[in-house]
Amino acid sequence: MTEAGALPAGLGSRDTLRLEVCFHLYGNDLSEDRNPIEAGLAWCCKLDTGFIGSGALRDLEPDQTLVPFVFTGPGIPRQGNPVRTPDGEGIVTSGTLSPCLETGIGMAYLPRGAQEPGTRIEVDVRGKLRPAVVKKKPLYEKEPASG
Amino acid sequence: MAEASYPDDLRYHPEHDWARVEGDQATFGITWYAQDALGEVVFFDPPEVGTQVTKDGAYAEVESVKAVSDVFAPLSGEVLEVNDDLEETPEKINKDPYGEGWLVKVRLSDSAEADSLMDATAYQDLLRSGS
Repeated sequence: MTEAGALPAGLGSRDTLRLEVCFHLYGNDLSEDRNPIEAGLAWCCKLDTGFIGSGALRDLEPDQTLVPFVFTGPGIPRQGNPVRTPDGEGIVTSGTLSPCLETGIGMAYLPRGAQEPGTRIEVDVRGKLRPAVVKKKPLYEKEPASG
Repeated sequence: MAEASYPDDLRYHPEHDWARVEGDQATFGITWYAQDALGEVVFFDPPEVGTQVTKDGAYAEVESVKAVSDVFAPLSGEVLEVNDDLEETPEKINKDPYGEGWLVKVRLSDSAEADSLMDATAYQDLLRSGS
């Protein structure tokens, strides 16, 4: 296949692709320490069906939720980087350099109030504060096919 | 990506950095082996001009899609110049690690330190020994 012009692609490319459209990755953005409401998965939780755990999620108003962000300057965010917002601290769960957007992108759990698109935040990347802005999902939208 | 090469006019540090010593100044970069191990470099985080770097100490970061790596100073001195082109085109570190992919120029504080670095033959022996 490579002789015919195909290029090898693996986990690295899958990770940039899924993050550009804000698909969650278990182990990064989802974990046993986060409930599905925080993770933005309320649309998957039909409380009326009475599934196991539905009681615990009813009327839950999480202090933090998962939101995407984009760097407005240099740098690449990485999992575990602390985030400073006007409303308190948050944490990056996924980060990479987006080949399509050509900037650092990621997802972070941010405190209520800092989750609105347009909120200016700072990500602490190994001691350097990098400016970023909260965005709406998805970060990348495919252009409509022409014709 | 260029073929593996280790120019004879450079001095090599075991952390896969090179120095081109010219009088009391030197240019630093990472070796072909280092850029190949990293994969495509997507970000170079340089030191500021005027920073003092210390032999064997980390002075910058290079970042590929998957990983971040410290860059170690092969020699001690003061940063005189940073390769600003790498901000827009960090992939030059892959394409031309000993030329357009140079990282910083430094005024050496002790040019005798260069004697402790390896020549190209010794460095390639180190690579073959698997470290």
